[in-house]
Amino acid sequence: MVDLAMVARLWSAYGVNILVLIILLLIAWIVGLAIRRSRVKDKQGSEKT
Amino acid sequence: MFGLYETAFGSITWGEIIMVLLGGLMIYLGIVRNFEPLLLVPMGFGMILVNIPLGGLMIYSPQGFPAEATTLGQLLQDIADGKVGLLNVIFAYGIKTEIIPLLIFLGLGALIDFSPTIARPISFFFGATAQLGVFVAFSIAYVSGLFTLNEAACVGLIGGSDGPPTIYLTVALAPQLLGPIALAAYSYMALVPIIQPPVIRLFTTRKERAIYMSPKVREVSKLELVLFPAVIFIVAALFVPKCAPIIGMLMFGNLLRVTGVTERLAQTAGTVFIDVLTFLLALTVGGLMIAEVFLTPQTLAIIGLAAVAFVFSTIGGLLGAKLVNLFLKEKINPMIGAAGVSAVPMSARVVQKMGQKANPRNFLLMHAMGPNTAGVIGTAVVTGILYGMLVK
Repeated sequence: MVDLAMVARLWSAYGVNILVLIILLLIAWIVGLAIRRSRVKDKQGSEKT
Repeated sequence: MFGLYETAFGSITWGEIIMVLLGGLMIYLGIVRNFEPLLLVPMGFGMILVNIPLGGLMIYSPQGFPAEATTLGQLLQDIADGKVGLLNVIFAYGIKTEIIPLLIFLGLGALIDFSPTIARPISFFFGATAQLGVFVAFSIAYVSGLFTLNEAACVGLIGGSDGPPTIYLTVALAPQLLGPIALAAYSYMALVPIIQPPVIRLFTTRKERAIYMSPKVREVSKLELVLFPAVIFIVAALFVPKCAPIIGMLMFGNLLRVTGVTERLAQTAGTVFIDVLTFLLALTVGGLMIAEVFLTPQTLAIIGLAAVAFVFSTIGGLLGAKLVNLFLKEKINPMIGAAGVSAVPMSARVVQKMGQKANPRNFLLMHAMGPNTAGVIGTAVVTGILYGMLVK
């Protein structure tokens, strides 16, 4: 017998997957942004000196 | 004279003859048509090896499962007695223990360049939405009544277009279907250039396909490349602990690639190491395809559902890109979403080719490689989620 509640539960895994990958997206974006900003600051600092 | 030895002629069945021919067909497709030759040739030969009766390379129990030695100490005696064959040993200690699929993922990590994903992190979203086919194929497989819940999940995962995670989950949930599922997963990857273009054409307008994207992708620093595998592993494993083995191996392999001081290790992992593991895996998976197990309605259903999974994963990626376009001033070409189905690098190449056809100025390969490699992470995460939900 087909357990439709289980089908729905497994479909929720699709949502969880999207959510986890959005979190990874944000972290990759934030880390990238932070690294680029610190590089720009370093560059500006070395130009001043 | 003829009583002194035994021939296989009297024992061979029609089913085995069909399987030998199918094995030959796979070798033909690999060699002549260049369809995933590194996988289809050993897989096809594995099929031939086990379907010649009395060979003893893979011994099966009466229930149709590969025979196993009860203990490691008993193994040598069982081999000597002909109770287990060479492929039984590789299956029991390499595949059933998940060692080979996981180590293949390590090698894959050493081959993948994640810089397009790092340069455009939105790729992760396309890698996630392109898992749609996994769930559509799962639902159809389960509701059809042909498969149990666990089997249906493994059939659905073919839509992730990534062999090792599919094998990883199938070994845990439905080892009896490993042969046909692995065959479908790897053969359909070779069919991506045939399956994807009509689906992409159906779900995008000509104007959308011609959207121009500057070929220049942001340069990624070495620090970003080194931090990426560690950070992605930690975060993914914290949210989905069961994906840790797969994503851990993938990211470890990638770390070897990007450190700059472990080039030898990365080179070995991405060449000899992965090659040896791949042919061991493919040969043994081919050895799982005996006539009694393979020639069933389930196998035909798996082959059909795999096509459904690939089609819906492509649609999922395209819809994800279209959704993102609603919020962007500078629109992206929605075709790059279709590359989120993983299948590195075939689907990115499909997008590049179609992009240039729609607009000869377009060079979408690097833009498509982002979702393409993010799709590998997406499939690993989905595998971990399903593993956590279904493996008791």
